[in-house]
Amino acid sequence: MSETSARTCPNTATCSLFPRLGLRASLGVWTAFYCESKYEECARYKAARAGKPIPDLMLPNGKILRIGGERT
Amino acid sequence: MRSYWPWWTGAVGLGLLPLVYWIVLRRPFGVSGLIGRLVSVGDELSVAKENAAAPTGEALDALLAAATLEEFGREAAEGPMAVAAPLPGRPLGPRLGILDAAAFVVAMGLGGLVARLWAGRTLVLGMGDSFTRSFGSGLPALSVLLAGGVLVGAGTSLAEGCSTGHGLTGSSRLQPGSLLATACFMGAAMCVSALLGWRVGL
Amino acid sequence: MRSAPRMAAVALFGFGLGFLLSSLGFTDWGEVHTMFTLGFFAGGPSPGTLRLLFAFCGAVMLSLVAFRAFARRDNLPRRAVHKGTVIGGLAFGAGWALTGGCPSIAIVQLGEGRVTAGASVAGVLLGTWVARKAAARLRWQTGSCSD
Repeated sequence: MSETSARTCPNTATCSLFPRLGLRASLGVWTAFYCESKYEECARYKAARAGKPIPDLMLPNGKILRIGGERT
Repeated sequence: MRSYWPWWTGAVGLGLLPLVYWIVLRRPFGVSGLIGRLVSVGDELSVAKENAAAPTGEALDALLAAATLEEFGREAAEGPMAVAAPLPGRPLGPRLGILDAAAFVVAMGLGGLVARLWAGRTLVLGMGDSFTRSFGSGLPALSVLLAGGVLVGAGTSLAEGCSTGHGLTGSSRLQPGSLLATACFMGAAMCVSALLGWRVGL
Repeated sequence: MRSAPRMAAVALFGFGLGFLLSSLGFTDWGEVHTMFTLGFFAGGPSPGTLRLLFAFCGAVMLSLVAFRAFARRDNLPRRAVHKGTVIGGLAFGAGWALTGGCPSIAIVQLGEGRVTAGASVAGVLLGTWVARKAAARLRWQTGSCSD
């Protein structure tokens, strides 16, 4: 399994998930699966490339964390 | 009637704006993106609604943990990858939404009005004598302004920045995209202006 | 920063920018034309005719120094060259020469009561809308936040 450091999402510096969730233990799982590998499948990345605004707490799988439970 | 302010007041005022804006809001100073918010009203309003319903604190912890579990399964969600992943340095501030953009735009217009009244300059309905000499008045003139506006709007969107975003903030930070965009827009503006000048003999 | 104070701060910056641009003469089509033609149609280059250019260049230099002095280690978003950079820049410049304004200036002109600037602003909104749709289709968006 070759790992290249070029497989990092170019938008990490400005992605709001890091300021909002960075200090929480679970974010590392998401970054390992998306930001550091299959970032093209990240819903946030796709939305950004389509020029659409992104909710601050939308996870890479498209689910949005909100009070009262998740919303797809 | 006061005359226009000397150049150095502009250098100081405009020169300090990007830094102060950054320190206060933790966002790069620019206007074209805010215009973009106003244009995607539907999307922006739904994002604003989501952000207003954003959980914090322990509720957020719980929701994130549940989402992680659901997506990746117990083994991954509780394994060695489940660590914090903050970025180094202070984070970017929250993205300004459509309401912020609207407030900014209205305030800009207001600032212009107040400045003009305070300087004792009479309010005029048009762009002044030089413009009228170049393009006349009435429908032809308005068409030029509309077409020019379309070029400005389209250009700043494609370049992802305007005179403040690229010309001021980006260039002062020596960002390659901004420097190139600034060179392009200054160059094009100068060429078109020169053509206008020759054609009309301004 | 909570949202209401943030909106107030944003509005304050907007007001300041509008006030500054108007007071300097950036909303004066003739002055902007003089700036872009380096004064050649207004008696030649001189501190008087080049004042807006001095203001702009001076601002860029001051901002450069200011960021180095006070925000050297901060990570602001990077602005890389991308597909829309050159053509966007050229189109924007051409439009600026015609309207006398960039997006900010057109709005300030309208605020000053220049009703005809409404056409410029309408154009800006229209152009922005069309370009964003096109860029999304063409996948030209970088997704990095501009502002």
